[in-house]
Amino acid sequence: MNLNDFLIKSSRKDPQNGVYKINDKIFRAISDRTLDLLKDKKAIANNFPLIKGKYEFEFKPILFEIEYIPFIVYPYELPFNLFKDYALFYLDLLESLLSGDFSLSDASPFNICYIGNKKFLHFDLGSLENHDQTKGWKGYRQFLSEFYFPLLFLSEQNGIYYTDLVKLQFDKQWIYHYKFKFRNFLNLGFVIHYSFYKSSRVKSLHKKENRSILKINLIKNNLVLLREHIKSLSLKKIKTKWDNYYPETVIHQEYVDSKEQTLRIFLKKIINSDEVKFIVDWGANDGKFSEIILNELNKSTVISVESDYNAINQLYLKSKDKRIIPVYADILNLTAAKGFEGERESLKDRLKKVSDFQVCLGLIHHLIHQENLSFSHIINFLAGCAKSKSYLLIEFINEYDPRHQLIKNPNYPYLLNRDSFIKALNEQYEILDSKAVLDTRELFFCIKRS
Amino acid sequence: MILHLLLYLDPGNGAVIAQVLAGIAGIFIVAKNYIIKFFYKNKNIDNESE
Repeated sequence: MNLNDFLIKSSRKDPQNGVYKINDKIFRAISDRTLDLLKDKKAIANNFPLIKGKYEFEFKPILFEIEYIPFIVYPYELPFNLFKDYALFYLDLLESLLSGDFSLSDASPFNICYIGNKKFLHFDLGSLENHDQTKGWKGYRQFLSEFYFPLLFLSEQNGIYYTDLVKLQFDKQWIYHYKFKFRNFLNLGFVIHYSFYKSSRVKSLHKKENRSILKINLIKNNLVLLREHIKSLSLKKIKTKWDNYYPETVIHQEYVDSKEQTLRIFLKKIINSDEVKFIVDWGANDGKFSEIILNELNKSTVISVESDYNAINQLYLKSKDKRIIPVYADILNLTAAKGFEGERESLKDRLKKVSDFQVCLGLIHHLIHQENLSFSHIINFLAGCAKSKSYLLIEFINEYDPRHQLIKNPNYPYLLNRDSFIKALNEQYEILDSKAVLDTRELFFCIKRS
Repeated sequence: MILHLLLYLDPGNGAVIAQVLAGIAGIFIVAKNYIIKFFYKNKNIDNESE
């Protein structure tokens, strides 16, 4: 067996600490000092994945099996406040590590994941190292470019689209061209971080080795300075299409109540509810139905996908203490694989590995008319994002529905009747039950055929 | 000009001086937080005595 065949692509940056995935298990080398630290300090160990066991492979040092995190949301899919919490989590973790004379060699949001319920994990155990006082905080510059400046940028924009977030993570030049708002220059911390970040692009590096010592307290003060500024940042309040969707746009409260009741009845039909680990809520809006689902299937985690940056941010703020992972993505332009050789998997590939149950409420009429999609296109897409034998709860909205009429595309080329919907559904799914929630709307509960 | 001179003197191409300056600037925040905490604590003690 050649171990390198199992190397996770994105771990190529650190060949000393290669990470391998073998049969859905994760293996990596861990230094003795790191092991001692994680054993001694439980509070710090809680911020890292669990170390499960020790394995010896041919021609390789001893590897350790670490906790497998089935679903990772990437930094370019995070709502603003979750990204902000990533930054604060990193600063808190570094501060507690510095107290134990440890440090982190880098500062990347790609090393952090959110698993819901206010719980974050820094899964890159390889970046844990002894603190070198002559180097100071090695990840300082990276923290500025990957957390601090992107957060500032997002807080200054009037509207965000997913490509903005991609730019912040992959374009290394944007900070040099972007004009930050004047008020930032009244903040002493920002002036220091920004001036040195921009000026140190000058490549006349002084080769002399640094012998001066940067005291830990000085670094901790810098962390306080950054934390204070990051905490004060917030997303601009602008009105978007999906803001207050339920209170303002949904037909009437009786409809929402009837839908909620039917949803609960259908959820009770899931026989092996313990096996439903991940639920994908497409077009989750403010997470109203994600929360209802979670109340019934309380051992599951809901991945709430929403294409409105404001709505997904509200969802996160509202459901921080629940096992809900918010994902900012547009179904009509789903996050593709990114990075060198697609080392960051596409959202579809990540969902396909975990999705046991998909929920698609009040959504298909929007997809149909925005992109001229047929029922088959939508059902095939949903089936492609789910595991075999997974459940689907989908709402059919017929063409006479008032909301449907409002957004109807006059040139829509496919059939819109119930029969064509059922035909498309039957190609991929077996219908377990259905119930009308309004004269024009019906819920279908199905299971994927294979 | 001063910035370039500082960068030239800095063995870490700006990072060492920036960290020292940011660390010093952070002292003000630490002090501010300490004072706020001190008064907040006192206020709470007063309320309890009431």
